[in-house]
Amino acid sequence: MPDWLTHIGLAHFVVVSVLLFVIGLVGVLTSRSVVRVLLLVELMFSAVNLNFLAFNNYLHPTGILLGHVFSIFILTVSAAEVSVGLAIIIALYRARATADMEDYNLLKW
Amino acid sequence: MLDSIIFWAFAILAVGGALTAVCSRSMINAALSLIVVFMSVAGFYLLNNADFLAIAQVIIYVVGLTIMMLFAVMFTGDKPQFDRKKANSALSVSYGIVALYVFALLLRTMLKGFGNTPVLPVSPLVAAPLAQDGSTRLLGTLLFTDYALPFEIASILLLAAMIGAIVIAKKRFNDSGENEIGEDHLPIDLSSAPKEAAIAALREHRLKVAASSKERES
Repeated sequence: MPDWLTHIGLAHFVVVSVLLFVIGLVGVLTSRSVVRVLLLVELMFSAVNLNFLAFNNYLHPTGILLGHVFSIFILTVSAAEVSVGLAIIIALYRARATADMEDYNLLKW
Repeated sequence: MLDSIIFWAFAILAVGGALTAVCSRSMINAALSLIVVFMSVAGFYLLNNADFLAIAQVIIYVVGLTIMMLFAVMFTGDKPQFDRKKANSALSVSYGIVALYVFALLLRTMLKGFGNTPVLPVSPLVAAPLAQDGSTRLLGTLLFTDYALPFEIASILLLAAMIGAIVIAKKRFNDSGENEIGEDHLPIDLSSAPKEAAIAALREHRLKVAASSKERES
């Protein structure tokens, strides 16, 4: 069996997290439903978190937990963000009666 | 060997779930497949010796966030009409090209910067002393000593977000004290009407309210 299949290194985690991040990014840019956009932003958040933890684990295996601390704060900010985001979705849905991003053009110039 | 099997299983689940979440037409399916993605990301955290964060991920993302999103989906409808429109094929090809470019760029930057750093040849599952003791104790000490100020600021942020969410999402009342949306006196009795008729009436009413508020703005 090839070596890269059985020995999981830093690069494996980086590839997976970048893959998740790019999938989330494409979904955010192409999707037309606000709820899906908010969900995929959370996907991007957890891809970034995975990156922090993988780098921390492989570069400081002796127990310096800087990446963990960063991840905890990212988790906090994303929880705050999703609560406000959902409130905005509800307010927008009341005002426009649709969940389509194309119809939210109040600030369009 | 064992950790590589676990890694590949989680990798397939995560990427497949993420693709389903982007491509599936039904919003419920998208939210449920994101549960799979978040669970496998929690598995990756465990492979990286981050036991506390793995559990936090399960609690916050899998339980909290996805349930909230399911509420939002039920609020706005499962299969929105606009998602059914066929995508422009030239546009999706260009999206794919941009995505590949961003992927290659991010990967090259990160692997060039850090990929060659010598990494311990042992598996990460047994490499760290954390593997015996867990990371929670160390993490708690760090959060309450070196990072006490950011920790307090994070609590203020959460409070502000909570109050902000309540203020944004609550119903608006106009000066005479009646509900601007006016769902208190709908043209149809929602409890007795058949479901489709009630939904149609509610939707029509909302559109009317939106149109009238748009008129007032202009």
